[in-house]
Amino acid sequence: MDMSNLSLFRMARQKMGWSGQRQVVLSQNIANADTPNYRARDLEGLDFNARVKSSSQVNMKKTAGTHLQGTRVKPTYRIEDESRRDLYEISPDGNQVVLEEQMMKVADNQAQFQLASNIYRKNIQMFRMAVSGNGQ
Amino acid sequence: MDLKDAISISASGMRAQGTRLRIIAENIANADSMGARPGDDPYRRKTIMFENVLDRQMNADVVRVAEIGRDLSDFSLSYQPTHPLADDNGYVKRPNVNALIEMTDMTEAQRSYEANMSLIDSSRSMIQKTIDLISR
Repeated sequence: MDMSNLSLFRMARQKMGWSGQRQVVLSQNIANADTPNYRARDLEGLDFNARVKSSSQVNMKKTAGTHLQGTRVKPTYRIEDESRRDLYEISPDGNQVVLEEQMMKVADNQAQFQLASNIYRKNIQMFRMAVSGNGQ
Repeated sequence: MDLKDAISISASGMRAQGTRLRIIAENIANADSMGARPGDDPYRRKTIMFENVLDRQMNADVVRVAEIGRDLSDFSLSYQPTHPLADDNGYVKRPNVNALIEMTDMTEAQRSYEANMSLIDSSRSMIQKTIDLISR
């Protein structure tokens, strides 16, 4: 049994990957907080329903060396420019990054990452409990 | 790894803000630097411009100092006939440094620097949480 293919592990891992990528996008925004004409960006949200659907997908089994491996689509998250309507303000030099807003997003992202990593850990603990039988 | 990229992007922002702070320090230090002879131009205020550059290795926008320029606004003239550098009409040219503008700039640079710093903190704690997954 491959542990990393269990759907709960896989979903937690996907969420952690998504949070990691979002952290990169947010750090770009903050690093460019004083660059003229820079537009803040954010990652497309992680859709739970879509993840549940894709987590039940079955890959084709490779039974001979000449078979092609069933391809599992790697998650690619779309990076979007923030729409003008959602912006707090635009500074005179055309920069659209608001530090407070970005810090809020960073805090949110960190909490989501923590959630995913805790789910991962709890899952491992459940396995341990099943294996050892004493709940340690 | 994504989170390490996030740290280096934030570091690029901090480096840019550090350069900005250096320029501000030069301006304030030279707020009274006059020309060598009567009629010579005094110190001209320096300006700094940021730009975002695509780092191909990380595939992310890092920030860089685009240009350190000169402020082309007029020098202020003060009437001091007894000053050794006064011209024929008794005026002395003083540098076009405005302490209030420099202080405001300095506060902004500091604020951006701190924002980048707290993002590094947050990325680091996310990495730490990932590492903690294998510890128990």
